[in-house]
Amino acid sequence: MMERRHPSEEPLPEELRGLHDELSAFRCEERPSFGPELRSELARAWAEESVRRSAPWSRHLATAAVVALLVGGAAVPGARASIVRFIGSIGRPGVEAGTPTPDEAKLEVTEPGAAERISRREPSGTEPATMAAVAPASGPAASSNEPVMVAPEMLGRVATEELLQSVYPLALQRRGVGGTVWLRLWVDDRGRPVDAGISRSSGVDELDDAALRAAPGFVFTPALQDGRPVATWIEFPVLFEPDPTEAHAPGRILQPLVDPLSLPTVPRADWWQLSEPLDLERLPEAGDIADADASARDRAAALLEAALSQTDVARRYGPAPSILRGEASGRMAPTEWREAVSGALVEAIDLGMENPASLLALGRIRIRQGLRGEARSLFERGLRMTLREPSLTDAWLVAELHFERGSLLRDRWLGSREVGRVRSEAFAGAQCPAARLSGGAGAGYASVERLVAWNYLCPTAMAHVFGGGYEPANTGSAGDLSLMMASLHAAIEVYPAHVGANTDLLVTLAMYERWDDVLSGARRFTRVSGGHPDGLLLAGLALQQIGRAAEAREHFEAALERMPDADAADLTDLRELLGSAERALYVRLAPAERTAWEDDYWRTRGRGASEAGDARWVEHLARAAFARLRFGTPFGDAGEVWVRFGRPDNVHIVDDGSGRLTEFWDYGSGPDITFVRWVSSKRTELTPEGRAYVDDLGKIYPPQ
Amino acid sequence: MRTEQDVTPKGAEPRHARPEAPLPSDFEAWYVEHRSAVYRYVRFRVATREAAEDVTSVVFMKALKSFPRYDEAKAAPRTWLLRIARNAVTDHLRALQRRGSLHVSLDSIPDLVADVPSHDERVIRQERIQKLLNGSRTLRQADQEILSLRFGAGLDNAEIAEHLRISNNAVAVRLHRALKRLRISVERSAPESMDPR
Repeated sequence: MMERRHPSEEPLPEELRGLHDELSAFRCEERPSFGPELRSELARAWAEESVRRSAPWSRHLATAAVVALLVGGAAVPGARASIVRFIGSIGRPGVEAGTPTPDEAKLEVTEPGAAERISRREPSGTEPATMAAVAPASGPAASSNEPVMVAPEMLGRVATEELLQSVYPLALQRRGVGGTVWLRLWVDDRGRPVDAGISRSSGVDELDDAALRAAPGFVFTPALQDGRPVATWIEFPVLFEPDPTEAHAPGRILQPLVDPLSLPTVPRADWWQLSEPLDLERLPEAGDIADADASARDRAAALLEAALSQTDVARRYGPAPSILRGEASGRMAPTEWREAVSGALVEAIDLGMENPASLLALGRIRIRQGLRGEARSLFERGLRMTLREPSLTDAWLVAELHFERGSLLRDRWLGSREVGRVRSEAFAGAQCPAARLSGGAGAGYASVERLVAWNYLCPTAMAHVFGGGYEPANTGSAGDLSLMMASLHAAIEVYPAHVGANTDLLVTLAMYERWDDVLSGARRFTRVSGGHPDGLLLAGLALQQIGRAAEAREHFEAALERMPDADAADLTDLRELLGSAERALYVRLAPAERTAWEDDYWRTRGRGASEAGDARWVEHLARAAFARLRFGTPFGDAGEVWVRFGRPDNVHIVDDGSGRLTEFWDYGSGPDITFVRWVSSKRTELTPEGRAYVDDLGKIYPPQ
Repeated sequence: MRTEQDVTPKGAEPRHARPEAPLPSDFEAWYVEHRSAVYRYVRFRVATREAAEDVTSVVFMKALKSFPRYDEAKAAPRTWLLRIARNAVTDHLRALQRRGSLHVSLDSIPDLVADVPSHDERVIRQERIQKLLNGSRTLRQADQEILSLRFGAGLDNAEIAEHLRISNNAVAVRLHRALKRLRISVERSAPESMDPR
């Protein structure tokens, strides 16, 4: 936390003094860990910079070694604490550089307080026998008449790291098997590794093989002898460490967005024009987008079949499009189907037959099996493959991988966003005699039971408690939001018509009430997708929110025309607005009769006859549209409340520590409406108390 | 797979107990002494805490890279750092403009608060801060710069004068004018239009 107040140093006019004092009273709360984190980053950067700056051969090889350490990581204490320092020179006077001899290279490993020689074994019989000699730990080692040597430096650290990640056998990762492989490479005078061997095994053959497979992909600057490129040996460790949480993975695929609540920018000349108002009469038919996606799906399914070509899975458990969706088909029990298909997909991975389509399919199955961490790892692995071999996949498949990853991050974000707790001391002075026995408190915070009881017994007192005692938890949701939006941006940037990514991104902006951005994004989405109804719904929602009801109505009508009949019927459904008797009749009507009922309902309330009547109908559609896009349906508990009562004034979300979130939707006077949601679930359901309250409201204040 | 900096070696001391890797001693001292001022300056100019952290990181990374070439005769360390910060902020804002987004929401500034004990008062002050910051972002760059140096970085008039290479008197005049324009900007904005929600 920082604070600095300013004494007034110069006479300011009275009318500015208040402003000056106000600005002087600002405090800026720095994240406590930011300073140490940045300091560590700086120290690392300085260490690399120092090595790079330091003079000739010995320190340059150290650079290569340090870079290599960073590439592979180094969790093994010996390797981690070691700095490989090249003291002697590779080429000695009289020895032609580029012709390795057993004693031409010297390595020393230093650790705090003691030196330790690296033991190594030779990559092949023709290679140098050892790299054995030791030189002083510091100071210029080469004599004045020694040639100036510059060691190879690794290029493309990120790409190398991605490459290593891609060869790390997934089966070993899942089993938590890791290790350090010491590689020894002969780097030619163009900086390319032309021979590779293991100088120290990890003890796991598959890891040793993986490191050797990756080695040809490393790129170095060539070693220089007196400014002339020469071939040379280098040696460094590669660490494979399983990381089931994948806590560090996101940054390797995408960096978080600086401004997460922004719109993506697609590199096409007309991108900005696409946010201009839509000419609804000239929108292309919805069928075009379906056809475009269908051909992309077919190509992905073919890719999946290629991955499974060594098995008969596609024949037995297919068709491939179903497997790609991760959805069970046929008469087999879904659990059994998933087990069989995921087993075959894992086998394909172990055989090195995987590709982005098979990783997408396996990831989707893993989500249904509750292995969300592994699913994310699979999507990221697929994305790395697409980065490494862009020709392998088309844009739709890349977008799908980004979108699935973004969806997992979105779930995590929704599980932590705006979550907080209420300090027990906030109840001091508040009176609610009937609730005195309700629930206890833990570690200074009120229990959820107590909050719910006070909410329904003493809503006024509870409002006071929330007002003074609600503490948002520091859950890191901003980071999740940023990563999630980065994934959605990436999906849209590679495939601008992607329905899921556009919808999730725009709904997120709508949750923050960024209506101008929602409108711009929805117009673009609608255009590039050939008039997708969700784009029109989002545009209509934004227009309704910024007070342009007439335009909103046109967009909603255009959306309804383009939606499947069942979806359109959901949006125009009236049941949440009817009293219980009418509702019972309404839900039994045939579709055509329902439409007639709806027309009558709105006509009697002024639709088509007055601006207010139209506005009311538009608002209903806007609520139903948001409920559908945000909660998946306008008919679930959350959708029902949203359609009936609209957006709450405020929402408090309390985490009871068990993964269960209790939401308090505040609609002004009276109790909040309470919901329960599991962190890993998209469903938001009324608590029993919330259900009773909502039902009672319907009886006391029947919808008009 | 993790990188070296991400993991604590087996059998080693816990990460927090490990001695920090060294920085050049002068730079270390600057970092300790001036990081907060740089961060505050940046935070005053950008929309979110995350952006402020990113830009502050860029500032110190650039400073570290240029550190061997730093010439004390040309500028004091803080002045030098704040100049780098000004350029980094400009780059950041340009990048945002290119992406067409300079919005700030109340959600994004919970770290900027006024020092008041009451929760209600604090909320009201946060909204006021939001309005003032939005207002300041409508001012010309020179005004934003002087307000950020004064109220963000916490420089007094003499320090601002050194930083901008102008006289103390000119600083007082510019500050006065910037405050005046800010007041007008805030007053002109209707409450609902100031609030991006």
